[in-house]
Amino acid sequence: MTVAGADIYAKIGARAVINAQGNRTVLGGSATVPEVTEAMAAVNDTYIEMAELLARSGEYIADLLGVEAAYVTSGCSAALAFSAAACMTGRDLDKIARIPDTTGMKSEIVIQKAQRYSYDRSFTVPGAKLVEAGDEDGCSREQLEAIIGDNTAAVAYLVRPGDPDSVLTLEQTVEIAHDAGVPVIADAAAQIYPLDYFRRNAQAADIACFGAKYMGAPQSSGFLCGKKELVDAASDQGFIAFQENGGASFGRPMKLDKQEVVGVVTAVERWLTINHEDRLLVFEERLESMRQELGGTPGVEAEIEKVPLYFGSHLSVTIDADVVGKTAQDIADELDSGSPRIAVSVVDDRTLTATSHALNEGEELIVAERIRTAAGG
Amino acid sequence: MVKSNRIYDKLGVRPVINAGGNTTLWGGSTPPEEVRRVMNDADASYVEMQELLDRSGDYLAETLGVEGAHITSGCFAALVLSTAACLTRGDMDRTARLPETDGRNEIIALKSLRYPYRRSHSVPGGRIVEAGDEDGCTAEQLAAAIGPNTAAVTYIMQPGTYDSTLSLDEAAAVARDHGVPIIVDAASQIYPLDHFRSTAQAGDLVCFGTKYVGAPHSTGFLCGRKDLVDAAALQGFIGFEASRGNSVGRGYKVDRQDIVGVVAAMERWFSIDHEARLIDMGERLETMVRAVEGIPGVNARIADFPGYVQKEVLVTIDAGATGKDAYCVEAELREGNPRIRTRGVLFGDDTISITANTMSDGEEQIVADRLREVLGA
Repeated sequence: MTVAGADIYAKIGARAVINAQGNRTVLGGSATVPEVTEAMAAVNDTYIEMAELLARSGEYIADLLGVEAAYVTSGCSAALAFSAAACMTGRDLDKIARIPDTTGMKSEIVIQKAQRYSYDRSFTVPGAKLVEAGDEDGCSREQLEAIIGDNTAAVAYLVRPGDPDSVLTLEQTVEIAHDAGVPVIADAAAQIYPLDYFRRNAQAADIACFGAKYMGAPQSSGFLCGKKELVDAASDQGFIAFQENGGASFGRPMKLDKQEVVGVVTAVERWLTINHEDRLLVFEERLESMRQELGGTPGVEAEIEKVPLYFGSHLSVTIDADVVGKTAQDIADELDSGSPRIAVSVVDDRTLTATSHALNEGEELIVAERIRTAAGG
Repeated sequence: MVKSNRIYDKLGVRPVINAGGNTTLWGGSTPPEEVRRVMNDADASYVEMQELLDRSGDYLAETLGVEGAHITSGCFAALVLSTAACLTRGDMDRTARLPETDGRNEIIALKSLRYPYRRSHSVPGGRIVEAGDEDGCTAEQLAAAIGPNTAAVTYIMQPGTYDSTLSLDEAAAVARDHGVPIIVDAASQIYPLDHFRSTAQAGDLVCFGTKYVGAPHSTGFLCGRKDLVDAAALQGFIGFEASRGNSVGRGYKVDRQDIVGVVAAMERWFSIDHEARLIDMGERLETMVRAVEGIPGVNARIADFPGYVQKEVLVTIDAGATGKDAYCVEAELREGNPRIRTRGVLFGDDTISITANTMSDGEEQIVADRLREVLGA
């Protein structure tokens, strides 16, 4: 069985990957779902007023999520950068034109130290300074209150399951920030399921940022949503605003195709209407096929584990190096260098995981068979 | 032909007949069938993005006869990443601090070549220092502006426009003599093909938009000196891992479909019959000229248009005879049904410019009919 689309990559000199890692940017992020592919193809041959398309698509998404406003971006990191800029400049054109020089603007973004993460770089790109609240283990109300000051432009919050109780929740953070008159930016990139959780994340902060690749839109798409005033200020930083505000917006490079904008609308609407139990069942059935395929392989234990994320579960494969003679990393390397190329995630020396939500139909058996063969089974 | 489109109808946006060129405001491009097909193939599977960017860069570099190339989310993104490359030269600490710099942050720009996209240099933390005056710049004036804090010289390529300003080759020679790289904005300098190649070869980092060759709207590339191209790639969204999460361009995301779309569009651009392309465009322009011939107070003619478009129709309107001035005609075309976008009223107050390279088959007749209608024929 050849990998779909392998020829076009081979021609360029790159190898297609069977993706058992998930919606990772370094692997291309997403394969568009058929409804999205079709909607994008249908607008390919048209031109449109991009300003109008961005305005209407934002309204449409805002209605779906029960928020005041929304704005489609070239991904979640772009959304975070726009949000940070919006909180520093508001709709003041002079300030917008000066970013990343933030002289004369409130330019500090407060973040709980226990929540520092690689994508918080998105906030400093437009010139904001990160100020940490609390310590590695957590942050109290008092600590967050104390750190918010005259120069605070916003409080940033990373929405993710599994933070300990010592970390302030999104709701607590919003309450404290609002008492101090400061907006909250929530990075809720993949926090899109269950749907009531998705809506709550969209509604809880002043601006919430999402990646749309998780819902089957193209990889370089996402959106921000929330309070109209801030969403408008964020869209002022974008590539279309640039063409109309005399070249002020710092976000000019974060460009989107009309096809992608339409793709995001279609993906969000589909996400809110499909049968998610069926969706998750398909993923789990694939994992179960993999588990069975690996059954009986000496030194290999495979089990399906629940994951508190939108794809629901993954396969955890334990490798006994004494029996197999290889570590989990050795096996992952063999899958990567073999043909077809397969990407799995290595957790530690003896554990690797495989997800099934970014696989094409039938690829689950290739993945399992290759793990089994690599393990000598 | 503008067809009704379900998703546009749903969002309440009206498509545009594009008689004004590959403008970002209207969606930039409509990729041809050859490009779309490979994009769809690429959508079907995942790929290691680093490898795809490397190999597609190799392909572009070989096609253009330069050391290296890197695909970006448009020409502006290419300019920002190029600037960041000159500010950091691949240094990790400098990368982590952007948009703050160590003071060596001056980008020398020619005062006579002011334009909005210069903003690309200040976005990652560069500071524009101007050389020459409004009327032009000599080699001596450029040399005088270069100092110890100069990170790069920047040059916007617009052939034939500025007689009193030194040429790209002259500017590049001055920069080279001072050991400073030159960044070139050559966005649409893609035709004739030898001009495309020689421009790509003329600077240290040369930036292009690929919507002009029929790739998706939000694509472009930078090319030139290998060490600088690599430093620019490190600032990009995939360089984010190699830079330990510090790239300034993490938000400048590109889909893998877009990347193969750029390769396919470039391959096509270097193999199609450009004479036939230009004859086809010329025929469309003729159709529109013929349509308004004989209308009292209206003069239409085909004029030279420098660059890949080559020709345009100029419609000059004597408001005394037609009862409407050019602005009024342009507004009626823009607001009417179908919605038609021209290049606008240019070359004085009485002339509308119309191009045909972004029209689909048959749209020239719609524009011709509508022109007659609006001009009261």
